[in-house]
Amino acid sequence: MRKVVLALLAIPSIFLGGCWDESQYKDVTIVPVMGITTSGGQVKEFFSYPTFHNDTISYTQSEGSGISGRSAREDANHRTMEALDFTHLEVLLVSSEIAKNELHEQLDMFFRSPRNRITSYLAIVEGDMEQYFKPPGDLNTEVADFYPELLRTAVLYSYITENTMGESVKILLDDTIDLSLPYLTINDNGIPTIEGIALFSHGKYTGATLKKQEAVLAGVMKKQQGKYTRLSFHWKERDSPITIEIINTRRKMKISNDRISVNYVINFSVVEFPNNNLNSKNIRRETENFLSAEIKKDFDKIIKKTQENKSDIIGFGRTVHAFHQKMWNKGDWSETYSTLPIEVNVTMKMKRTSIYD
Amino acid sequence: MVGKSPSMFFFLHKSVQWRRYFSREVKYMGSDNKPVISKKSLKQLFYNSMDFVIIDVEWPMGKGILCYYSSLADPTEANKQIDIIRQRALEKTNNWGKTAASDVKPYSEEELVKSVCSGQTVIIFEESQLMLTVSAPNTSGRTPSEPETEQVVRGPHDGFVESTQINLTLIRQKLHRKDLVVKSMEIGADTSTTMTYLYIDTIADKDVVKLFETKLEDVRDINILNTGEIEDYLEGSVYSPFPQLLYTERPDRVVFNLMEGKIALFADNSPSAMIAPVTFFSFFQSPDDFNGRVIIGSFFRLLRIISLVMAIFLPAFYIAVVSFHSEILPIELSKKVKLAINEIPYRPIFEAFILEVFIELIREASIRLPKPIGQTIGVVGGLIIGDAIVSAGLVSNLMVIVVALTAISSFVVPTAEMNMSIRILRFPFMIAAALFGFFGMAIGMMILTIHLLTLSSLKQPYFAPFIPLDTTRFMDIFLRSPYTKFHKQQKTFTFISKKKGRKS
Repeated sequence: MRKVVLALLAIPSIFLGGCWDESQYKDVTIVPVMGITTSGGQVKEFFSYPTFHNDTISYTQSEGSGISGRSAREDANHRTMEALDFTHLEVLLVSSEIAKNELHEQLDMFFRSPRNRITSYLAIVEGDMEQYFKPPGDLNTEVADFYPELLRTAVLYSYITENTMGESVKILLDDTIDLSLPYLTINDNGIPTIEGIALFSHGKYTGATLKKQEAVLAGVMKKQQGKYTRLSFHWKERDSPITIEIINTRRKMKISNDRISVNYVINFSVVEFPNNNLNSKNIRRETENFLSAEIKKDFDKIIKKTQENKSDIIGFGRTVHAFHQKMWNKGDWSETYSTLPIEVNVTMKMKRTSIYD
Repeated sequence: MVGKSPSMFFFLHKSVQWRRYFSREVKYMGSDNKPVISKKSLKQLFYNSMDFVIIDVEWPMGKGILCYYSSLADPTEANKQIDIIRQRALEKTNNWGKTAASDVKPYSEEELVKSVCSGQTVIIFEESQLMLTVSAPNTSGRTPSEPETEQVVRGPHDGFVESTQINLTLIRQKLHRKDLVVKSMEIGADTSTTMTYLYIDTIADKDVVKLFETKLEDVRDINILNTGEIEDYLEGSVYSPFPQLLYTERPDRVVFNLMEGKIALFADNSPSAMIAPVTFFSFFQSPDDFNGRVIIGSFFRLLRIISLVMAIFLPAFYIAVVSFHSEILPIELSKKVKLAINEIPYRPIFEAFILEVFIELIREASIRLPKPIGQTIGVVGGLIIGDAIVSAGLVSNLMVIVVALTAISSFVVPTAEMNMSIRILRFPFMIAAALFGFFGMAIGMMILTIHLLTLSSLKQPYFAPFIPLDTTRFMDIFLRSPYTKFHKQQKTFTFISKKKGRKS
C-alpha cells in the first residue's frame, strides 16, 4: 500500500515540470532597455528588445500603457509575440516628470520578484520618452545596445557615479543622503547624451542638474570614482591647457556645532600639459596651487548649488547623523543642510608628471 | 577381476611395502573393499570424452593406468617427468613419487577428477589404490601485454593474463617482500575455480582480511567463473551506482594498492584483479600520477576531479538554466544562447536525451567493432550526424557543445567501472533539473552525497577521508604530494596508528 501511495506521488511529479515555476528561455523575450513616462494620467512604458528569427537578430520596440508600471507592462504583452522578460534589464530610463513626483512608486515592481535584475542602470531623461527610443539622429547601433554601453562608459570615466536600481532605491529611502542620477538629453544632432547628473531632494527630482565637469567633481567629493577621472582646466597665466587624472582622494571632515569644514587631499598625475617644465620644483608647486584654487572654486560652486536645491548628494548627513546628533536633531536635515556654512579646503599633490625629462 | 589375478600375492606384498612408505597418507583398505579400476570404468567416469586419453603403463611395481585430458596437459612434458619419476622408483628412493612436479595420493574418484580437470597427468595403480599426479599443464595463453583500457604514458607496459600463476609472478617480481601473503580457495560445487587473494600481512588490516575470508567462505558452494560474479557477493550494496571494488589489469596498480594495505583477488582464467577495500577517490588515480612529476601529477588529478563534476552536472546545469533560471546568464552570452535555442521545437530535456542516447549509441557501437571501422563510426556519428542534427534544427548547437563536453569529461575518469557509473548518474540529474531546476539538482546532490557517505567497501568507509574526516589526507586526494614528504599510511580507517608508508 505504501509503495502504491509513493508511486502515485512520484509519477505525477514527473509531469509537474510544466506547471512548476518553469519558464523556457526560448519562450521569452529579453528586454535590455525600458523607459517609463506618464501621459494623460496614465503610465506609459517603452521597450526595446532583440527578436530572433532565422538565425538573425533584429531589434524592435513596443509600448504599453496602464494605470501603473506593472499594468503597462502587462498591456505591452498583449502586443508582443513572446512574453517580455525583465530578468536581463540593463537600463531603465525614467522621464523627468515621473522623477519629480513618484520615482519610488515606479520602481516598486522590480523588487517584488526574485527574477528581476536590480543591478540595471537608472537614468533620468528630459523630454519626450518616445524620442529616446526612436532618436532623430543616427546612433549607428540599436537602442537596446546603445544605452547600456553609454552608461557603462560613463561610469568607467567617472562622468556619473555608479547608480544601479538597487543602490538608488537604498539612497532614495535614506534621510541622510540624497540621490543623484545620470541625466540624459537629446543633443543638437539628435543623439541622446549624458548631460550631467540630476539632483534629488526628499526622494524627488528637484529639476536642477550638475553639468559635465561638475558631475565628475561631485564624484570626487563623494570619493566615488570610476577607473579614470580626468579633469581639464585652462591656465590663463601660462596660456596653456592642463588635464589631470586623479589617482586618489582623502577626505577629512570637521564638524562643529554650526559649521562643517572639509579637507580634501587629492593625488593626481598630469596627463596633458604642453607648457611642461614640470621638472622644476617651483613650477610643480605653482601647478599644485593653481589646481587647488581651481578645484576649491568648483567644489564651492557644487556645494552652493546643492544647498540651493536642498540636495545633500555628497552625504554630509551621514557623518552628522552618526556622530553629531545635536546638529541632526535641529530639524529636517535638508533644511539644516541648505543653510549650513560649509568650508572646503583642497590640497592638490602632484604624484606623477607622466613624462621623463 | 583384481582378485582373480595370478600375481595377486605379489601385489599385496608390494602394497604393504608401499604402505610403509606412505603410511602417513595411505589408509590400507582390505582387498574386498577395493573399487574397481579399469580403463572402461575410467572412461565412463569422464563420460567417454574424446580428449580424455587413457593408456596402460608398466611401472617397476606393476601395471598402471595413465590418463589425462589432451586439451589441458602437455604429453611431451609429462613423459619427461614420468621418466624421471620412474627412474626414482627403480632406484627405490624414499618418497620417490614426491618431486616438485608430482605427488602420490591415495586413489579416490573425486581426487582423480579434480586432478585431471586441473590439467594434471595421473597414473593410477589399481593394486595399491594409489595414484601419481604429474603436473605438466599445457601452457598456452597470452603473453603479458598492456591492457587496452588502462594505458599509461609513463610506467610499466605489462598487464595481467588469464593465468593466475603468471599474474602472481608479475606481482612478486615487483614486490620483493616476504610478508606478501598469497592464499587461495577453491570455489564452486560442480566446477571449481581457484580464487587467489593476496595482501601484505604487516600492512593489511587483520579485521578486513578476516571479513574478506568469511565472505569468500560464504560463496564456496557457488559456481563462479569470473571475478564479475563474485563482485556481487562481496559488495555491500549491489544496487549502488558506485563500484565498491576496483578492477584492474595492471600489475603496478595492484602493487600500489597492496602497499596501501588492500587485498587483491584473482580468479583463475580472468585477467583482472579485484581490489578491496577501496575509497571513492581510488578510482580517480592513475599510475601515471605516481610516475609523473609532482606538478604534472597534481594538475591531472585536479583535472579529473573537475571532469567528475562536469560529467555529472553539466547537462543538468544547462537544462536548469535554459528552462528555469535564464536570469543568471551573463548579458553578453544571453543573446547567443537565445539565438541558438530559439527555434528548437521541444524542451531542453528531450534535446539532451536525443543527444545523450546518440552518443551512447556511438560509444556502444564502436566498442565491439574492429578498430578501423570503429573510427569510421566515430567520424560518421560525431562529425557528420552531429553537424546534420544541428542544421536540421533538431538540437541546438549549444546542447551539442554541452553533451560533447560531458562525454569527453566522463571518459577522463581512469577506471572503466567508475566511468560508466558516472555516465549513468547524469541522467537522474538531468531529469531532476528539468523538473525542478537548481532546486532539483540540489536535492539530487544531497541524495548522492548521503548515499556516498553511507556506502562502504568491505565495511570500510567509501567516502574517506571525508567520513571519517581527516583533513591531512586531502592533499593526497586532490593533489599528488611529493614522495619526499611524510605520508600517513592509511592502515586502517580508524586512524589509530600512524606509520610512514606509501600514500594513496
